[in-house]
Order: sequence, then structure tokens, then C-alpha cells
Amino acid sequence: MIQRFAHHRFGVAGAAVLVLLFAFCFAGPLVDPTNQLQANVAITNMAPSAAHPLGTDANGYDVLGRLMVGGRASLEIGLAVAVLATLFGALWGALAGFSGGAIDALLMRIVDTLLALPAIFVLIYLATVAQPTIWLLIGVISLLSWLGPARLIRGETLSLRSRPYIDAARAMGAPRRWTIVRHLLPNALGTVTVNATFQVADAIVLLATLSFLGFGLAPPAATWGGMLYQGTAYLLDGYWWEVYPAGVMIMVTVIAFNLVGEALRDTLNARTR
Amino acid sequence: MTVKLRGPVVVVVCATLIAACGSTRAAHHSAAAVRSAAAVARGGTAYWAEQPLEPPNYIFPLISGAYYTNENVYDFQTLMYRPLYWFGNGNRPGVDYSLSLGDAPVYSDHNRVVTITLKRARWSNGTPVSARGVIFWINLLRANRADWASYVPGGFPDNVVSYRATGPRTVRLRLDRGYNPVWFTDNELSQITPLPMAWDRTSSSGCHSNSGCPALAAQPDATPAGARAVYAFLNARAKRVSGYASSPIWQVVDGPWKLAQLTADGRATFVPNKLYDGPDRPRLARFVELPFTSATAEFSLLEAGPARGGQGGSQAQISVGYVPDTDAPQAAALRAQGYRLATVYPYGFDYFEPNFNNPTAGPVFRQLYFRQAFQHLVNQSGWIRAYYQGLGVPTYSPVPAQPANPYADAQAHTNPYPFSVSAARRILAAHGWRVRPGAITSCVHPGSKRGDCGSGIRQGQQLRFTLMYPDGMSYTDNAMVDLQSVARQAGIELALKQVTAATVAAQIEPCAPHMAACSWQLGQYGSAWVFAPDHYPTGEEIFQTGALGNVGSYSSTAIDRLIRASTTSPARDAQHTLNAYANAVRLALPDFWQPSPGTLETFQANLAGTTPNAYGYLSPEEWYFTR
Repeated sequence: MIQRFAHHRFGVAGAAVLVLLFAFCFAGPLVDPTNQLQANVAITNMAPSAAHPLGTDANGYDVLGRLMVGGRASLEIGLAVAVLATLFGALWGALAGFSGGAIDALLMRIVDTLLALPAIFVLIYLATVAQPTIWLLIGVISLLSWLGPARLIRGETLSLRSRPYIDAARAMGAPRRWTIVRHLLPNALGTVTVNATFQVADAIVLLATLSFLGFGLAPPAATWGGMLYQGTAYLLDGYWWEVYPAGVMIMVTVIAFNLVGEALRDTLNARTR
Repeated sequence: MTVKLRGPVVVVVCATLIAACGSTRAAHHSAAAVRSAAAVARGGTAYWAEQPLEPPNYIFPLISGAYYTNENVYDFQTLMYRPLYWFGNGNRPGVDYSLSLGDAPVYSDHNRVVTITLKRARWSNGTPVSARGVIFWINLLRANRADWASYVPGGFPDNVVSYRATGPRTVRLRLDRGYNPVWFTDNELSQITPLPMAWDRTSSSGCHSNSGCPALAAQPDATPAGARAVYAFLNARAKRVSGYASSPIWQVVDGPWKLAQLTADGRATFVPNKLYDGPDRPRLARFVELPFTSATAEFSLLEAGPARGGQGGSQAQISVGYVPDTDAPQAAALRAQGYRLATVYPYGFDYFEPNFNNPTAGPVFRQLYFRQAFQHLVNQSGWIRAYYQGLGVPTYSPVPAQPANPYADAQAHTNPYPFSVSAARRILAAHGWRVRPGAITSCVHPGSKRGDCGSGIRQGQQLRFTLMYPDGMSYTDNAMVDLQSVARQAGIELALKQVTAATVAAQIEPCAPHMAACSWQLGQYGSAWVFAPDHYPTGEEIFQTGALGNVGSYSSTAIDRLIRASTTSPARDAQHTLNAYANAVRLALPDFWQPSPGTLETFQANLAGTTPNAYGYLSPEEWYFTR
């Protein structure tokens, strides 16, 4: 499988970028330590220089260091959401698809109902009434993100459940839970994995959107979306280093996860092998 | 009540009393005084930028708190309906009698009797602006005081025992006691707007003297029930925005302008009132207020270049606009485009509030030493330089020193608690706290003795607070982040909670410790307290025990006594009592002072007479184009 993945040049490039991103965000501060807790009114909005390669922001924080710290929150939330949303959505979808009938109808109408809620407004409302924390954001974004995987896995399950090996398991009296866990989910693993990579990208974009609207993590925590939000206020003043680096990081991360996802889909999909 | 001033400044207007007057006839730069007839180009249209999403939506001057905004009052109503006294000598605080409908009021009987004499003026329907119009206003106010934005129990008109017209242009008020005449003029008489008797009606077909109605004394407003009915009628009409320009009621004006058109999105077009015979008759042919959906949209239009000549082209253009605070670095580019720029500071002060009644934080905030330590952490000059783009003035006193005014003494220029983290640490350590920079400071000596943390503070109690502030204003965002990081150096943890301005307004309210609404600890309106429509800078509305604006529930008998002295002293003692009050409050820190931001305004280069008013009143009748 690794060999097949290695043949996917864009996928490999995406994976390499992700490795670099993780190194940048988690190991970067060890190489280039900056104080991201202490604002400094004496060095606000400074252009890039040797001391601050990407300049400073409106509070005097080093932008390069802030990109590292902000990236941690974005990646942590993105990954956590992907895991939670995909796990829960996969179980929900598999149960619905395998059960069929009234249970399927009930479970999927719940999904449809929740899908009808405008996610961004729900998030803004929750962020307004509660102080956003990293755990709250993970929980809330996950709650809104499991619906896609649920529908996807249900469709996959509908296809899988008519396969001979499922019929065989049924004929031998295998319990429903065992059949789902032992046969259905492993066979849907490719779909689940691919979806998870897209979920990471979606969660990062959603977090960036929230932060851009001013409903992200409270200071002194940093996120790329929050940096973008703060920087756009100064866009017309020519402080490009407060806007573009954060925007580029979001874009590159999302593209990298999408490339990896595409490559995984091709790698894991038997029909394209 | 919260109202927006032009530019980024959101102000909390003292809705009630306060006072005084000033009256300094100092250098009012009347347009008439500086005009050179040769340079004046008569006519033309000036375009003025409204605040984003703040179109005028209430025209009747007896306005309730729900509609009380700068956009409705200072930018709209006063163009058409003149208050009895005009405040602001150009950019200097104080009353300007030359622009007022009334002469300086005369106080007698130990300041218990006020005599108001009106100048000769007329309404656009030809009837005189009369003493009866003043009585009409007071009648409506007394019967509908709950609907008056500036009403404070015990204030105007409650403190008026009797009132009557003693002549066609003279009104005499008897007060319930002697008041500081400066305060009474600036904060009580300032609330009067004479009304046309054509409005004394209860229906469209209604009853007014021009159509054979009863004698003036018997008109509807003369009885409380009638006054309530008249108000109900006018209030209902004032809510029909689409009918303003065509209404025979609202077209009766005594100001220099008449409303010609008001569109649904808030574009207001004014033309000169041809019968206006007061000072500063309009030179412009039209004055247009332009609506915007965002400050960015306004700035984009500014960047397109200034209006040229003002001859009324149909293209969108701005003659007088504002620069959003984050775009202040664009000032040079705007000047290069041909704009004239000026910074405007409202007469007020900026602050954020501790909640003295919060069950946890309240006992800490009640300690003067803590407030002093915390004030030492506010880097006012640093904030002005870094976050306000230099467009700010520091606040050291409740009687602000800037803009220059006759009320502030020398103390207002001195910072008693300059920025110093070490001073803050020292103060805390001297009062029983174990100071832990970068971590959280805690109380190690509870108790009320000298050197202890103070009454109500537990052993081990930590200095952590939640600070709520409104989103959307870069300078506030940045200043609060700086405060958070500086406070950490003294071991004080501030959890920043950014919410909508509406949430701030709803949650920062006076409360009792047991109430759920008392959970807020530190609150920041993102706004300044501006002395308008009560123009004398006394503190009965914000620092007096139980005052409506005293949202943090500060209480001090000494301060209360000083406030009372400042509002009731005879004129000869007015400045002395005001100074005593100001100095006590600046040291006692009932709130935390922060810089007051200014607004950078832009003016079309050939538009003259545009001196901004200290209280924010808009005066396009003073504007004119030069050749």
C-alpha cells in the first residue's frame, strides 16, 4: 500500500508538506523561541527584519513565532475533530445502513435535520454564550462535522451489506454488532480514512472562519484564522506580513490534507488499483 | 444610554443632569467671523458620511432612550429643531449663546428662580418661537418623563416646582432649591427644545391655533392627559420614517435646514429653511447625509478621491468623512489626494468598569490599593502610540483636560498612577499578597489590618478576573491583549471575553451580589463617557451611589457629598467644588482610566467653516465652498 501511495506524486508532496508543517508548529518554537504571551507596545506592526523575519503584529508579537503557535491549535483541533467526527459518523452511518428499515429512516432523518442547521450560526451562537476553549471548539465542531461521514458510511454500508460474505455471516447467526465491527467497518476503512483527511481540512477552515469572525480562542491563544482576522484590519496600511503568512498557512495545510486524502482514496480504492 | 460618536468612538452619553456651563464665550469660530465674502462660493452640495448602518430613524426631539443616538439627535434633529441653548464653542466645550435661541438665563432668589428670555426667531410656518413653545415642551416632558432619554428621577423637570410664561418670550421656572447655575444651565436647561404650537395636536386633522382651535392655554398639552395624548400622536408619527419629508408636522422647523428626502437606507437630503433668520444661515444649496454598510465601504469611497467643487454631481462622493481607526496610517495618502484632515476628540473620558458587587472579585475591587495597583498596569501613552495610531488623549480625571475646556484644573493633566509594573507588584506585596509574576498572585495575609489583603478576601484567593469587551474595534482588542499580558507580569490573570457590543450593553449593569446578573467582573464598553446632552462634567450620573450610569455599583459617601456640592453650590464656588470632586475621583478610581480615542475626520479641501463641535453637534449651516 505504501508503494502504491508512493506512486502518487501529489499525495507524497502533500504528506511531505504535512510533515514539515508539524515540524514547523511543534518543533519550530524549540529552534526559534519567541515570547507569545508578552505583548510589546514598543514594536507593534514592524516590517520583517533580521530580528523578526516575518515582522511583528499589532500587539508586538513575532509573526513567525505566532504562526507556529497558531498552527498548533489549528492542527490539534483539526485532527481531533477528524478523529471524533469520523468515528462517531462511521458508527452512526454503519448502524443505519446495516439495520435498514425504520431504524435507518430514523437515524438518517436525524442526520438530515442536523444538516439543515447552518453550522456557522450555531458555532457563533455557542461561541457567544460560552467562552471558546480548545476543548469546547473540538466538541462543537465535531458535533457539526460527523454528519457527512455518517451519510457517506451509510451509503458504503448499503453497498457492502449485500456482499456474499455479509450474507454468510448472517446465515451463520453472527450478531449485528459483530458483523458491523468485524466486517462492515474494516471494509469501509478506506472510505473512512479518506474522509478523515478531508475532515481535518474542513475543521481547520471552519476554525479559521470562526476565528476570522472573532469567535475563536481568546487571547493570548493564537490561531491562523485569528491572525488573519487581526491582520485584515491593517490590510490597507500595507502590513502584508500580518495577513498573507497566516492565509498561506491555512491554504497550504488544507491543500496538503486534500492531496493526501486524494492519494489515499486512490490507494485504498480497489477499483482504481 | 449608548450612542455613537463619529468615527470609532462609541460613547456612553450621560443622559441626565450634569452640568454647567461654562459659558465661556471664548473663541467661537463662528463661520460668519472668518468668512471672506470674496472667497465664498454660494450654493453647492456637501456630502457627509454617516456611521455604518446608523441611519436616522427618529425625528421628534422628545426622544426615548431606545432611539437616542448621535445619528438621531446631533446629526439629524438639531439641524431642523434647535435646542434652547447651543453647546460647543466650536471645538471648545461650553455654551454658545450667540447660536442659542435663548439669552443667558438669569438666576435669582438664591438660584431658586430661573428666567429664560428667548431671542426673536420664527418657525417655518411663520409663527414665532415663543415662550409658549418652551412651556409646551415642559408640559410634554412632565407628562411623559419616562419616555425622555435624559430623564433622571429628581432631575429635570422634577426639580421644577412651577413654570409659566411671563411674556411672549419669557419663561420663569421656580426650582425646588437653589442649584449651581452653571450646572442647571448646562445639564437641565440644556434639555429643553422649544416646540412649534402646530404640533400641539392629537391627530393629523388636529387642533392647532392656525385652524381655529382653542386659546393657547387651553390647548391639549395644558393638561397631563392631553399632553400624554399629544406625545402619543407625535411619537407614533416619528416612527414612520418614510413620511418625514412629506409630513406637514415635521416640515415646521426653526433650524437652518428642512428635510427634503430620506430614503429607506438612510440617505437624508436637507435644503435650507428659507424662513430661518437665526445666525449662520446656510450657504450650501443642499446637504446630504450618506449611509454606509461598513466603515470599509466608507473608506473605499474616501479613497476614490474627494468630492470636487460640491456642485451637486450625482456621483457618490464624500465632502466630510472619517478614517476608520486602523486606517489612520493612510492619513498622508489622503492628504495627498487633496483632503484636509483633523482629529476630533469628544468632551469626555474613557474607562472600564470593575463590578464592586461581584461576589468573588468585588471584595478585591473594593480595596483602593488594588485599584491603584491595577491602574498602574494601564499603559496609556503606550496604547495611544501603538493602538490608537496617536489619535488618543490620556484620561487622568473625570473632568478631562482635553479638549481644552474651562472646567479642568491642573490636576487633570497629571497621572497619579503612571504605568509601572513594579509599582503594582510593590503595592500588592505590601498588602498581604504573594506576588508571582507569570503565575497567579494569591492572598497570604487575609484580614482587615494594615498590610492585610482586606475585608472579604480569603486566604489563598487568587487574582484572576474575567474582562468582557466588545468585538470589532481593533484598538480595544489590542489594548485588552496588552493589559492581559502586562497584568500577567504582576501575577494577575485576566481571561478576555470578547462579545458583541449588544451583549456588553446588556450584561454590564448594576446588580446585587446575589443576582445571577452580577457574574461579570470587569467590563469595557469600548466606549467613552461623553458629556452630552448634559454638558457640565459633574459625576451624579456615573459615580454617585445608585446612579443609573454607575454600573459597577461604586459607593462612597465622601464622593457623593462632593458631587452634591458641585451641583448645588453657588456660582462663585462652582469651580472650587468641581475641582474638589474631580481630584477625589481621580485618586479614588471608581473605574479604571484608559485613553480616549479621537476620530480622524476628512474634509474636502475647498469646503470651509467645518470646525467640529466639542459635543458632536453637526453644523453644516456653517459650511461653505470656496472658489
